[in-house]
Amino acid sequence: MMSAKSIGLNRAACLAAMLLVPGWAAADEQLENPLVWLERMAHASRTLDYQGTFVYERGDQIQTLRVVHDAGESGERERLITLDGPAREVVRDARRVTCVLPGDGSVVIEKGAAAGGLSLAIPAELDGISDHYGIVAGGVARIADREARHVSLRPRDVFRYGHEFWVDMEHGLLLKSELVDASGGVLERVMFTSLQLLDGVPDQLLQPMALDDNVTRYREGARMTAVEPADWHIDALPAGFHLASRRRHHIPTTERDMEHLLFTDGLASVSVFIESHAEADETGEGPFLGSGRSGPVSAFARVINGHRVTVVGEVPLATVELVGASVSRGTQ
Amino acid sequence: MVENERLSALVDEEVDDSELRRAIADLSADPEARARWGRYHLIGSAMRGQVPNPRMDLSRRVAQALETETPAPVVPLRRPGLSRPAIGLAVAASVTAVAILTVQTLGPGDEAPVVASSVPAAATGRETAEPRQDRDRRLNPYLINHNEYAAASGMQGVLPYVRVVSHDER
Repeated sequence: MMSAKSIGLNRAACLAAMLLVPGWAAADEQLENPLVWLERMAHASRTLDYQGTFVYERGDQIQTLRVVHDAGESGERERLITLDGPAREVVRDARRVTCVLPGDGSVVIEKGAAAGGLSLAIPAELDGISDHYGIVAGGVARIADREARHVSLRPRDVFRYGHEFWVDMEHGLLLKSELVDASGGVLERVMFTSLQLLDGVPDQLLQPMALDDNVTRYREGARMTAVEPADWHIDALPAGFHLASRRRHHIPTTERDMEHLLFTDGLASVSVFIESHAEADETGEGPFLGSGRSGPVSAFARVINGHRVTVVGEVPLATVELVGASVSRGTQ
Repeated sequence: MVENERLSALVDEEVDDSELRRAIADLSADPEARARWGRYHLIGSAMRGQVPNPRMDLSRRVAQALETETPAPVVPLRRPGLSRPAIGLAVAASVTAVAILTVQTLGPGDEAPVVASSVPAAATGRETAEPRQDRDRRLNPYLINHNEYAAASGMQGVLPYVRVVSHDER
């Protein structure tokens, strides 16, 4: 097991290699360090232009999607489109997320981009990750006709799932990813079947599909604002989880605002939503209360002092229940 | 320290509010107790037949849920001039991955071992699918927002958006 200090040093060396050495092969010694692969992965997914096709598997559901990513000088742009079933897509850039969702009636949802308000220091996150996951570099596999390095992240406690990553050896892109529970079962899997690096991305590859006139356009986000810390406390976060963002959303289904706190350990994330509680909303439906899970997602909700607290995340049920049970209001 | 008995009660949700607060305070101060609580939780889940199992035939149960689902959330989309809540609900209910494969509700009062591998999915899915579908749909706004922000703060690239755009075929 590596000490935190040696990880920090290795990471510094890795960063130096990333920034200064032309060509990855020059940093041979570093390539056996799994943290180097994670650094490369986090870096590559944001800084490379590429297009590719991948499958998304969850339980025995499977979906094929295409992704086009433009690192762009003026910020990232990305288009995701489903290749089987109805042609749904998400196009996002630094300012906006557009979901185009044809079906019986086509729908376009435009939202202010969540990414705009966040800047992530990935190296800092990586140090935290090694505190809570055992990180091991595995062998070389072939994914999408490319060589990929296998990196395992096994959680050190029961509050998060494990990850298996296969990272492209040439460019550092994540070629395959699995979310794994405590008994080794795969909850969710993403795997590229083809990948092509680009040098610049033509605009037409990033345009949302053309739609006929029978489209409902739907916008939200204007009322989504950062908020001051309120008098809510979360007393029992699992080790390593920290507050990544705190926002207030306007929820169109209920015409109400709710506070949204996102916690992450650098890999797993948990959202806590706090809103005023109503037994039933305008649609006559009662709110979700209690706990449950489906595939990678766990959820827990309870009512405290007239407010409903809902916790969701790609974490074990124990985690959302622990976090949800520990939410309180007022001074300690 | 948190006594094992109290941890166990917390897992089984047999504590009242003041006990809960006290136990949480203890858990906050004691990482070892937190870890133990997590392990008890896994054991409790296992005893209730809720052991995470990716092959638990969820999709078949979801398919059954879809068969019994009324078309109401979709119909309003065909007409212009709807109120925002109806559109929002329809969007959330019909177009996202989380709309289809949302959380399988195992509420406190729901003791049936619905995901135990020894119980045929058809036997349990049918009788519970419809109310769950209704309740689960209520989670969609949360899951959509969660995934968008997770995308912004995580390092998993496209995955959170894949969760939004992907969906079940059947």
